Amino acid sequence: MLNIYKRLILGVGLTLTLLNACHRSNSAGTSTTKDGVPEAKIVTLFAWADYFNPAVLKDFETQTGVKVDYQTFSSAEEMEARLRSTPAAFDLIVIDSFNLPHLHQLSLIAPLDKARLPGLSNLDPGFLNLSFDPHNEYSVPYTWGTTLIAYRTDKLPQPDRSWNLLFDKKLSGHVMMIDDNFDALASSMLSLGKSPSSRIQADYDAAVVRLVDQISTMNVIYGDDSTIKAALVAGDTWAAMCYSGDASTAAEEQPLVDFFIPKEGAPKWVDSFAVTRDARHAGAAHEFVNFLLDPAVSAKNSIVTRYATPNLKAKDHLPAEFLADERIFPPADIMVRCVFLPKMDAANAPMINRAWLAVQRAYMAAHEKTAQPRPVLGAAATVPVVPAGR
Amino acid sequence: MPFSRHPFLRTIRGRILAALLLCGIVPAALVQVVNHLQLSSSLETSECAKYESLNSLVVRQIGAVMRTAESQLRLLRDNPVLVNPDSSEAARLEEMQRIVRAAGSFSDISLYTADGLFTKSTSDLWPEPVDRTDWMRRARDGEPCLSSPQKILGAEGLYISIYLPVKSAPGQRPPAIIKGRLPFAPATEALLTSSELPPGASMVLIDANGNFIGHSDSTKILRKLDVNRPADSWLKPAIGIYTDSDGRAYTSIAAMVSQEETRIGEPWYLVTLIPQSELTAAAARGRLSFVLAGFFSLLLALSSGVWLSRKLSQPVIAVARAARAVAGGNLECPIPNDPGAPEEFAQLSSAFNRMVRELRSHRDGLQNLVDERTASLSESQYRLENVSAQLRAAFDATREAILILAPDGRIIAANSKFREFFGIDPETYRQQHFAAFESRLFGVFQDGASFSEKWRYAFGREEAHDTGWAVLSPKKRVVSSYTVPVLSRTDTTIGQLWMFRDITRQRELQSGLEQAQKMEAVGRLAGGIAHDFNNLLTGILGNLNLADDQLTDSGVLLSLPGRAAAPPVRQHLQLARTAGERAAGLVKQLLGFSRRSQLVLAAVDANALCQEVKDLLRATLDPRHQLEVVPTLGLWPVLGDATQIDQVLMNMAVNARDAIGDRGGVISFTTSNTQVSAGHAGRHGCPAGEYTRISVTDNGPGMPPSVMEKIFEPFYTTKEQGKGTGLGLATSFGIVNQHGGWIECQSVLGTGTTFHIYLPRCKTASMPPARPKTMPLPMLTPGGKTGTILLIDDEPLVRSIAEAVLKREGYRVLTADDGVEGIEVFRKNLHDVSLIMLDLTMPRLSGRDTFIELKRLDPEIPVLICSGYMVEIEEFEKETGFRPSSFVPKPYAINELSLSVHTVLEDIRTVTLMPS
Repeated sequence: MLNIYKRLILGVGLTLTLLNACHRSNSAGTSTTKDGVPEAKIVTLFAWADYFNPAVLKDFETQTGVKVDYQTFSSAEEMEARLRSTPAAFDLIVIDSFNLPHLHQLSLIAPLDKARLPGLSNLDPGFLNLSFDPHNEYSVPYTWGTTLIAYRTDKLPQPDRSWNLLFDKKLSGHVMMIDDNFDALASSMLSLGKSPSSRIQADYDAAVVRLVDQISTMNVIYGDDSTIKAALVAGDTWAAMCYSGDASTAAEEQPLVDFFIPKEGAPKWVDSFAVTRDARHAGAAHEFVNFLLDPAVSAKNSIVTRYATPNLKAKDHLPAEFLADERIFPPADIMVRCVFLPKMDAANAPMINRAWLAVQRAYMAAHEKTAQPRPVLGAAATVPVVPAGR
Repeated sequence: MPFSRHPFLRTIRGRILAALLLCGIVPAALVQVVNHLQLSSSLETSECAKYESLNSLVVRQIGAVMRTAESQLRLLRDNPVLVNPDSSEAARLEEMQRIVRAAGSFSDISLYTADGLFTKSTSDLWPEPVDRTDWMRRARDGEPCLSSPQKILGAEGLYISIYLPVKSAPGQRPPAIIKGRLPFAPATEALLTSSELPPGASMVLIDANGNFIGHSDSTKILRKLDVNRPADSWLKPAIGIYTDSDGRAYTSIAAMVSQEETRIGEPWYLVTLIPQSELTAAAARGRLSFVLAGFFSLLLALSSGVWLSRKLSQPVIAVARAARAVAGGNLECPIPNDPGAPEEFAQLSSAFNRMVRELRSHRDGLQNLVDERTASLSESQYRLENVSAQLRAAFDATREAILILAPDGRIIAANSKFREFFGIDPETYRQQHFAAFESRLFGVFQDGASFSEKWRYAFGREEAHDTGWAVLSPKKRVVSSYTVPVLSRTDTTIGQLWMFRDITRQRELQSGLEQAQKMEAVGRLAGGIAHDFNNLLTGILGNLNLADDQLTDSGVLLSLPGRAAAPPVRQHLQLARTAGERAAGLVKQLLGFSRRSQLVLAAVDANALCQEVKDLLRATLDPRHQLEVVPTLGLWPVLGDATQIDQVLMNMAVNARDAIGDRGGVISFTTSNTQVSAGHAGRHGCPAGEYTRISVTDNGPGMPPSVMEKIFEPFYTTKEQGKGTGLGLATSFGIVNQHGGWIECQSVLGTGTTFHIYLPRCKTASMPPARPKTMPLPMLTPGGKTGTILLIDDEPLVRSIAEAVLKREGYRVLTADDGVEGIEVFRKNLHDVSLIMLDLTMPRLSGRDTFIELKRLDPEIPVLICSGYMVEIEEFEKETGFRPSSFVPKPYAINELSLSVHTVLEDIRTVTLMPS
C-alpha cells in the first residue's frame, strides 16, 4: 500500500514532467506563447527610423503571415528608457554596438536561440564574435557603418577632410552634431588626435572643453540622424556628423551633399538585432531575423537603406556600383583608421557620463540663453521629419 | 496443499491464532495501513501547509519592504527643503545627503531636470545622465511613483527608484525631479534565505513577466524562472508539481504579492520549490514512528494470542496424548488430573478415563473369543490344505491336459500335461495379456484358425466336445478337446475349463484297421474279377477257337463231313462278342466304383426315373413279382446324372428281386420330400437341408445285422458264384455319395428290406421335362471317307482294331508304337496328317507329353484322345495348355469311334470352308 501510494505520487510527477516536456518541445518547434497557445502573428520591432526597406517588411508579412509592428526611436537612450519601463512591449530591437553591452548588463535582452537562425552562416565572420558580444550570444549583426562627416559641396567646395572641420569657427551656425554621447565625444577626441577609446580623464576633459567651446561659440545644433539629414538636404547645415547610411541617402537625395571619412579615422559601429528579455513573440522575432539573414533579402534591404550589410553572401545580389561606393564600403586603408568605440565599464563609464553630462548642461545652458527650443528629449520620434536616415 | 489444510491450522492453537488474526489482528493491521496512508497524505499536506504559511509570511514581509519604500517616498515628499521650489540646488543636495545618511535605506538620491537630465546626486557612481523612463515622465506630470526593481549599471542587485516631482505652480512643469534609489534585491534575499527551508528547496520572487527579482543566487536576477511558464501560472494551482529543465521534481507552493502590496502597478509571485524527495522524506519520517508503534502493538497482540491459544490447547494435547496411548494399545495411561485446566476439560478427562477402563475389560473378553476362533480356523485350514493337495495331485496326474481360464481370458491354472502337449508354459503368460497366450496356443495347431474359432465360440457356453485337432509342435499329435464353463454356486461363469486328450494312438489303430479292411476288399475284388473274367474269356476264346476250326488257313470256310450239326461260325462269333460285351460292362462297373466316371449333372425328376426303371424291368420280371411306383406330387427335383441314378435304381430293384427270389412278392418305389436335420445328415457327412428321398422296399426275407454291416462293401455278395459281382450296392453307394447324398438301409428279418436313397434338392430349376429316350447313334455308311489319320497306341491289338475300322471307313492310316515314334511320324508327314488318335497310357513318353509335343509341332492339328479312363477335356486342357478335339473311351465301340473321327474332321472342314 505504501508503495502504491508512492507510485501514485511519482506517477503524477512523471505525467506532469512529460506534459511539461511536450510543452517545451512545442514551444521549441513552433511559435508559441508562454501559455502554449499559438502566438499572435505579430512581431514588435523597435529600431531607428527608416532602417528597413518597406518592401522587405511586406515580403516577410506575405511569406510568413506575421505582421511587423515597426516602432522607432530616435536615440539609444530613449530606446533603453522605454525598454526599462515596458520590457514586454517589444520583441525585437536594433541596437548599436556601444549600447548593446548596457542592455545585456541591465538584463533587458535575452540570449538568442541560434537553432532558429540557420542564416547566421551567411554572415561575414569578420563581423561575428566582436568584443561587444564575444559569442554573439545576444546579437545578430544587421548593418555596419561609420560615423563620418557630410557636407554641402556648394558651401564647402574644398573641405578640410578632418574632424576639425566641425570645429571651424567659420562654419558657425551651420554645423550639426549627433545627439549621442559616444559619437559626440569621439568626434572631439579624434579632432584632438586622441583615441576615442581613451581611459584617461584628461582626454575626456579636453574633449569636453572643445565641445563646450563649440556649443558656446559656434551655435552648434545637436540632433538626431533624421534631423541632421534633413538639414543637410535643405542646405541649412553645411557640415555635420553623420552616419554613413544617412549621408549616402542624403547624397542620393541632394547631389550637393557629399561625405567623407575624416583623415583621423572614424567611429565604426555595427548595429545588431537583439531579442528583448520579456519578448512575447520571441519565435516570430527569430523568424524575422533569419528572414533578414537571407542574402537576397539582405541585399534588397541594403540597397534601399544604403547601409553596408555584414551579410557576405548578400554581396552577390548587390549591384557593382553600390559595392564600389567607398563611403559605404570603405577601402582597407581607410578602414584601418576606423575603430569601434569603447565598451563602457566601471572604469570609463563615470568619465564618459560626466563628460557627456557636462556637454549636455552646456548645451542646455546655451539654448536657454538663446531661447532656442532644444529638441525635446524623451519624446518618441516615431514620425521622422524627413523620410530618410538613421 | 491448500493453506486451510496446513497441519498447523488443524490444531486448536492454529485455529485460535488464525481466528485471532482474522477477527482481530488483520482488521487492526488494515486499519493501521489505512491510517498510515491517510497519515502519509496528511503529513505531506501539513508539510505543504507549513510552506504555505511561510510563503504568506514572506509575502507580508515583502509588502513591508515596499511599504517602507512608500514611506521613504512620503518622507521625501514631506521634506520642506526638497519640495520647496525656491530651494537652491545646493540646499537640496545638502538635504538629500542628510536624508541618505539619516534614513540609511537609500543608496543615493539624485536631482533631475524635468527633461530627465541629471543635475545633482548624493553619489557620483552611476547616476544615469539622462532618464527618459515612463516613471520620470509620470513624475514630470506631477505624479510621485515607484519604479519596478531594476538593475543599474555598475552595481549589484536590484533597485527601486522613487520619483518625486518638486512642487510647481499649476500647469507648470516641476522645477526638478528627485529620484531616490533603494536597494531591493538584498532586502528580499535576506527574506528568501532566512526561512526554514529544507536542503535543496528554494524560495524565489518573480515579477509579472516571470523574471527573478528575488533569488538567493544573485546571478539569477532578472532571469526567467521558466521561459515557458507565465508568472501567474504558478498560482494555478497554488500547490503543484514542477519539474525543472534538469528533470528534478519539485512541489511548488506559490503565493501572490498583489499590486496593491507591490505598489508598482503589477503583482509579484513568491514561489517555494520543495524537492519531491524532501517532502516524501519528511512524510516518511512521520510514518516510520507510526509504523513502529503499530508494529509493537501488533506484536503484543500476537504474543498474547500465542499465550492464550497455548493455554487453551494444552489440556487438549494431554487428552490427545492419552488417546494416542490408548490407540497404541496402552490402556494403563489415564489422563492426569490438572487442577488448572478448565472445567470442560476436567469433565472430558474423567469421561475418557472411564471409557478406557471399559475398553480394557472389553478387550480382555474379546481376546478369549479371538483365541477360540483362531484355533477353529487353523483346523479348517489344515483340512483345506489336504483337500487342495489331493486335488492338485489329481490335476497333475491326469492324462488329459487341463487349462482353466478366468472369464477375462487370464490363465487360472494349467497342469503339467498341458505344458507337455503344447510346449507352452502358462506361467510365462500370467503377467501378459491373454491375447499373447492365445496366439501362442493357436500357433501349435495345424488348423489354428478353426481352433481359435472354436475356442472363442466355446467361451461361457455349454460343454462341447471336439475330436481330432492336429497339433504340430512340440510333437505331432492328435488331440480331442472338451470344454465346459466353470460355474459358481450361483451359476455365474467364473471360468472356462479346457481338457485335451491325446488320441494319436487311437487314430493310428483306427487307420491300421481301415487299411486291413481295404486289403481284404481288394482281395475279394481280385478274386471276383478273376473269376468273372475267366468265365468270360473262356466264352470268348472257346467260341473263337470253334470258329477258327471251321476256317482254312486262307480263311475259307471248311465244309467238313460230320460237322453239319455244328453251329455256324457266325454263331460262335456272336457268342464271343456277347462274352466280350459282358466283360466291357464289368469294366465299366469297376470304373464307376472307382468314381472316375463322369457325372452329367442336371435337374432330374425322381418320379420319372422310377417309372422308367419299372418299364425297363417289367419285361424281365417274373410274373410273381409285382413292381409298383408310389410317386409324390410336387416332388423336388434332384441335381444329378439321370443315367447314374437309373443305374442305382436298377441295382436296387435287381437286388430286391433277387432277395424275394422265387417266392414272389412286391417291390415298390416310393418318393418323398424330406427335411433332414443336421444330426441326421451329419452322420453321413452331409449338411442339413431339403432332400428328395427314393425308398425301394421289398417284402423279402430281410437281412441279419451281420449281412447289413457289409452290404455296401465292394464285391460282397450273397449270391452264388457267377450271379453277382458284389459291386451293385457298393457302386450305388459311390454314385449317391458323388451326388452329395447317401443310402440308408432298414431290414427286418422275415418282413423285408427298405433302402432309402437321399439326394439333395435341386434349387436352381423346377422339375425338368421328361428325359428323351436315348438317341440311337447314326449309322454311318462304311467307306468313302478321305484323310490321313495318325494312330498312336502301344497296344497292338487295340491299334490294329482301330486301324482296321478306320481303313474300312476309307481313311489312310499311319501308326506308331509309342509317343516318341508318333512324334517322329507326325514330323515326317506334317502336311498329310488330318487327325491324330492318341492313347494316353504309353511307355517312354506319356500320352500327355506326346500331346504337348504334337501340338507344338502344329497347334491346329486335331487330336482325339483315347483312354480306358475317363478324361475331362477341360481339365486336360488346363494341364497341357492345349485342347483335345474329342475324347473316345476305350474299349472302342466301332460306330462311336467312326462317328467321333468323322465329326471332328467334318467340323474342321466346316470351319475351313466357312468364309472368314
